[in-house]
Amino acid sequence: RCVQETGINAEYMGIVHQIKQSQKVFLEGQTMDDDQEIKLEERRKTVREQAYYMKKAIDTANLRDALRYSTYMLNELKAPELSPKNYYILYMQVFDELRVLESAFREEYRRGRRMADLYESVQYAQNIIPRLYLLVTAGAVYIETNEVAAKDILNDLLEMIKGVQHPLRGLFLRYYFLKMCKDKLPDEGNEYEGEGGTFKDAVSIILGNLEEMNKLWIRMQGSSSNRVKREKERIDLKVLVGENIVRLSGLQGVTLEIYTQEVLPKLLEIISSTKDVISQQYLMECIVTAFPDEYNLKNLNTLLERTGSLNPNCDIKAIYISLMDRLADFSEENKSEIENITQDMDIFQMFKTNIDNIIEEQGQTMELRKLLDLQVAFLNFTLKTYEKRTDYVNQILKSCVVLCEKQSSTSFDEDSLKNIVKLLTYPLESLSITILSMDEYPNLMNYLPFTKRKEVAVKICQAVISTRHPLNNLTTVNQLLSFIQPLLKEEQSFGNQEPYEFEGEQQLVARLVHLVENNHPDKVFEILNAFRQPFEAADEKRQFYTYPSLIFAYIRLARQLKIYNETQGTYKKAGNAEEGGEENEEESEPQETQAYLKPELNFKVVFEIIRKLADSIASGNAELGIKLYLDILQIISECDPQREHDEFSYEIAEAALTLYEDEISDSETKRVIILQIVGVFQILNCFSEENYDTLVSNITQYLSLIHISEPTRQAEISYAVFCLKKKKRYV
Amino acid sequence: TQSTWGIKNRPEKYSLTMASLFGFGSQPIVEIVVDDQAGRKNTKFKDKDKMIKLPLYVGEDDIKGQVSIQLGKNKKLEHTGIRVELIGHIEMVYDKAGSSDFTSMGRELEPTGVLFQDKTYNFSFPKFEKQYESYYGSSVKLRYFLRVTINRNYATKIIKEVDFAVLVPATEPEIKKDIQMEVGIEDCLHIEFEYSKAQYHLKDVVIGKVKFMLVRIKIKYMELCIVKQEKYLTGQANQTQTENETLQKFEVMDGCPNKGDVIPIRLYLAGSDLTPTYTDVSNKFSVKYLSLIHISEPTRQAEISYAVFCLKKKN
Repeated sequence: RCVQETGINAEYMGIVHQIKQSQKVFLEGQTMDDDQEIKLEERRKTVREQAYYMKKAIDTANLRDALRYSTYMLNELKAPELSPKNYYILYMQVFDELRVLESAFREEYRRGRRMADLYESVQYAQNIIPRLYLLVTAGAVYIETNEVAAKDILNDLLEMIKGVQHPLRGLFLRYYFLKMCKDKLPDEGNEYEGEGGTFKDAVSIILGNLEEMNKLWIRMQGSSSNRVKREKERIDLKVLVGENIVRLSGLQGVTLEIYTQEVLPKLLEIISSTKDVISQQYLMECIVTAFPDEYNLKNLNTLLERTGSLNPNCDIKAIYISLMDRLADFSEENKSEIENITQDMDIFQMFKTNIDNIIEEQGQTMELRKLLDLQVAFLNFTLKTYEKRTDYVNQILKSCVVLCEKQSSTSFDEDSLKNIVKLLTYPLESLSITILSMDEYPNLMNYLPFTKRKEVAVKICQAVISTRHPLNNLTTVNQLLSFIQPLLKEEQSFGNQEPYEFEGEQQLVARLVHLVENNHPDKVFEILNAFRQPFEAADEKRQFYTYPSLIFAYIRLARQLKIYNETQGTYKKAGNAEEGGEENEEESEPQETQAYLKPELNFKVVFEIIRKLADSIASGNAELGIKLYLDILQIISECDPQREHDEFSYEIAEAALTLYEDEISDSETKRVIILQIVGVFQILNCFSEENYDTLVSNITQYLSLIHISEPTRQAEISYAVFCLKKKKRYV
Repeated sequence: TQSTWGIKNRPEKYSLTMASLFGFGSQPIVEIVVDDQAGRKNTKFKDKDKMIKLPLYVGEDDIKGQVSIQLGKNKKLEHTGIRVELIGHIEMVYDKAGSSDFTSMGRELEPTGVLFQDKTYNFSFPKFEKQYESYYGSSVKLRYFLRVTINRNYATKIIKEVDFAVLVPATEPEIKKDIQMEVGIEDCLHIEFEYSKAQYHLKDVVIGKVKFMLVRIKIKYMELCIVKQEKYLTGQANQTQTENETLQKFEVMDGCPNKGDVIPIRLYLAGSDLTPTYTDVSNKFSVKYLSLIHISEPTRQAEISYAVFCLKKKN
């Protein structure tokens, strides 16, 4: 109940806001012609004047005069020449003034006046507009006295206001009626319940009013030639009609049961009693937004079917979308409840059937982007309602693919494409990597041009990264790579791109590599190789970003391999008493729980791959190359205490030093890099003594070539030389 | 207890002035004092534009009181007889010739002679005939009044009249019948209207509805007009004259309805000055009330129907 109330409240606030908005729009309306403006001003002035006299009469407790002046004031609401916007402004002014009269009525009652007499005497007014406004005002106060059943007065008012058949004036009068009876409706638990009636009376009163307002609203359209203008005016006034539904939804007595059995059927009857597009559309939307989502969820089938049978010119799609969006939010907030509901009702299928119908009927005439709007909303709803159902998502994607197949290429406008992007990216948020198993996913993606595909690819990367879910499966990774293809290679049709954008994209790809993780080095190796393949095929620009991360991934693999071997080794030592080198490892008998390492996976292979990668970076970027080489040397040193890769290491070191000598020219850079080299060399342990000597003497030579005047820097260099030499002694 | 009512013949001061001005001495002052005024109900009539308030006599009420004649400055008053009469009179406002008395009773207070001093006479009309009701209309009036006449040989008569009202309680049973009518303009408008009753009392409320069966014209508004119709016989050649007066225009609908719409009517009669309906009063006049449905189009106005209301006093 509580949740529902806040729902209503929020909804109500929403509509209030809407009204305020429209009021604002009214006031801002600049299209108002001068003539109208003058007339409005005149009427406003008269209202002000008469209200002044009215208030003066009230101050001297002269009710007769107060009624007389208020009648003059209300006569202004006859205003036959005003546009709806201006009429609204005038109405609001009168409305405020009537509040003074309302409290004067209360005061009269307190002084001992019989409300029945007052209720009668306001009806002596000759003109209908003032008479009925006064009657409604007096009626409201009469109800407050509890001397009369609320329902009787309300029904009487409802009957009498039939006298105003002029659409605009009738709508506003009935709106006034709604405003005045707002807190006077007999409802469950309020003071008017009981002798005043029941909430059922309130329901029938509001529904009756709605029915009449709807008629007036439709009548406003007339057969005027100025159809568009009229339609616009009518839409401006929609909140007046919608107020009825707000009232209904605010009734405590309208429970799910009452809603299902009485309120909704009657509302739908009112809606289908006409074929007016604006009315049908708006009222249907009101039902969707004003009542608790749970109610609509339980009545989903009825709603969907009725929506389907509206005037074909109605934007049924919009109603569905609004319904689905709301239900999606509801699902998100009420997880357990929605689970129960979905057990009893196949909501997905209901929507699916009806949406398919719409597509069937209107697929040929409706623009693709609108059809896709519908699918997007449906997808959003499904994702939030059925969290684990990738099959449902796949079904939606499938119908989108079917939809796209039928379209000519010109139908794919920017909005349609955006929608396809949404269809492809929404599932990522909740389903993330599992989207990769949906076979329709790439099919739909194919309808996108390169840039959009790239956009989706970026989203996919982001989604995968944000879940931090390890990439531990080769199939998944292969699918992933095929989805992010647009990021992996240059495309002809690809236009200009900002460097930072490119950098961002490539970094995303690079970060994917960091997610690779598996307990078994074999698997990691496979997966990394899968990454390596497209990376290698790409251009240097990309490799600059992707290679380093791949190199580090391989370095991690090498480390993992080492640990793997060690643990296997110790195990084997206990069992087999055989030394566990990496070569031996391949032949060793792993435990049942452990997979065999494939023969092709050994340190050498890994190192060589890394080196190859580093080489290609180094050829374009010496500095980065040197750093990567140093990293490789470190991992070799870490994994190869036996110095089995001495020569290989030497080659790498030599390559690094050659790069240093040939490619680095700036003295400051030289200084920084050589110090890095010295730093790494101090901890390296992978060279034979001979090779190390050679390298160190080279480095020493480089150091001596660095000329620096600053004493501290000089000391740095001297210290570096010292360290190297010292290390040499230990080697 | 006694109290004075009616219009005083003339203020004393005024008569003195008049007397000295014309040198004739003052007119004698005639006063009619009716008994039992304190306990008697009054009733109001609208005569022309002013309201008059008269004491009310019903059923077997007597009317009695005193006529006092004050000589004022005069030493004596010569006369050829002093009479008091109770007269029921139908007055045709635009046709004096058609006016007539329908009842008249007289009492001689003084035979021909001379009055030397002020004198007071008692008079009494016990259970006088109350056949018709007082009515003050625009073209016809039915008045009851007491008239004191001092006839004189060589001077104008001195006449003093005092009105009072008679009310005849409704005796007929209430007619329990509604009014239903179907009217229209061919191919343009077809309405059915009904009033819950054909007979209303004066403070009643007219409840009714108008159902629109066919609407092919653009209606601006609909009014219910209450029209008072007086019919009277003129003095010449027994011709009947009709006088209509719209008492109230009451807007019952704003705008143009659609086919099938039903518009409620609720009109409080207390808001208008109404009298009961009278039929052939003394074969002289009738008063009836019509309710007119008045429908206005942008360019023309049409009174398309009427119903006759029978108005009664509350029993």
